[in-house]
Amino acid sequence: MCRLIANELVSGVTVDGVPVSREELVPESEEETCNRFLIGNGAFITL
Amino acid sequence: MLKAYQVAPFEPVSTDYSVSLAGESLHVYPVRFSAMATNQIFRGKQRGIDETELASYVHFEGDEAASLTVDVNFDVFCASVVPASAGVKVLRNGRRLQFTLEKCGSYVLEVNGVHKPLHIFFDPPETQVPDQDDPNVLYYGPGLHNVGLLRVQSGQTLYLAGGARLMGGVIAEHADGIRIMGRGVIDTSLVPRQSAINSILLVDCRDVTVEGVILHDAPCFSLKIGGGGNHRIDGVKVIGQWRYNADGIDLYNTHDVRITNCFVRTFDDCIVLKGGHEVGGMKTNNSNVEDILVERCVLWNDWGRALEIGAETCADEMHRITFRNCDVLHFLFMACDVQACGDALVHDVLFEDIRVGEPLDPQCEPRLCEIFIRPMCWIKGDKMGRVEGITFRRIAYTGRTMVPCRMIGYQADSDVRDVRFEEITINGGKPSAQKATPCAA
Repeated sequence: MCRLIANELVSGVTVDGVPVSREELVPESEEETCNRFLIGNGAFITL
Repeated sequence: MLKAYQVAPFEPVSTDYSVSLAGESLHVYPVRFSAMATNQIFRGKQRGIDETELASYVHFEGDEAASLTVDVNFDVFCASVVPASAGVKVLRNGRRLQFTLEKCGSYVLEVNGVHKPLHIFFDPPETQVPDQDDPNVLYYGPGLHNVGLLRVQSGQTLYLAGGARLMGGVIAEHADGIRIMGRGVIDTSLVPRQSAINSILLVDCRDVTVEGVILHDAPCFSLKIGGGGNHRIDGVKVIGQWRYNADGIDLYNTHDVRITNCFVRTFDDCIVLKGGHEVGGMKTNNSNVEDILVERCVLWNDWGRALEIGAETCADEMHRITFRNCDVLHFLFMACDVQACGDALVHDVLFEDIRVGEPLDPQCEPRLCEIFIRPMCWIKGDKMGRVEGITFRRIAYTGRTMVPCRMIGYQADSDVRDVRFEEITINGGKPSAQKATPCAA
């Protein structure tokens, strides 16, 4: 439920002081980033 | 002693609720909000009323516990007072609800879910009512006042008594020592969207206090502050934000600002810190956003983000920023957000003791916490900034929808570094950072 999603341009993440390895982070592809961008920032009516 | 405010005869009445405070009837005001999650890029067109719905609010003050009786004019299947952190117990007898608010604050009575709620603004007694004969006091008593665009000058106090409704916007430019205060309403509902007038606009002002007033139905952003610094925003209520891009409190390139005890329900970002190239016609010169505290606020975000840095982050630095002890009742996209779309170095940011309730729509992929670096079409500039040293501490989410945390850097020198999650809880339990964390914490 509290997944930590990150792309490869994220470093130095800790949870309660414990470093989180890259393998523990849920990766996000560029395509997924674009799709989420459309949902979060592009949910507009076309002008 | 508990006190309701004088109500002008022109004020409309909500038909959803009848409310009494310690046995005395309270006026119940209707207030419009969005009914659906569609927005458009500014400036766009005026939104249709058919995309909205009415809710209600009451407003009173006092220095003792307030016992309220609410008669609901529709069937009641469930009812609760939020924020849950207030611990208010509701007694239900058919359509009659009774509860006691032990202390001042902003509350929402939700009946059968999130639609048609009753907002309750319980303010502390006023202690510094200015002298209306003072030449530096712009005094507005109970009643309707058409002011158009009211300009406030250095050293002036704009006072709105409870029951006053100021029709129009308030602006101050290059001014110092202004106070905007009282228990009245600044109402921009008749101002067309294309005007882009704010409820209150402060440009390059210093030492401004905004206290206690209700800001109602702004054409876009409600309280906008650009440049200057050393401001106190306390007990302000932002409601009726149903129009597209209707932010709550927006700070641009300013410093030493405290936002406390506010209620903000908006159809775009609730409380947001920005860095822009210009604001109110004034160049910002990339000045910093720094030493900002947002504390003890109650937020309801119908679209956008609840607590945000961005999306505009055009500044040298945006830092020493704290969001603390706030309740996000509902949100659509992000509860705690750093959205860096400019060239600023965003660092030394703390989100602490933030209680977050159920998102409004699971289809919108809500996130509990997010850091995101990406250029945007309305922010011009080639250079992108970086985000580092962000702490999310004691973020407590209660709800059924999955709410991941997400961090997205942009490129090698515009990346995200050193993000700390501390004591994050999901429905009272401690989640794991593992990929395979089950839905039920």
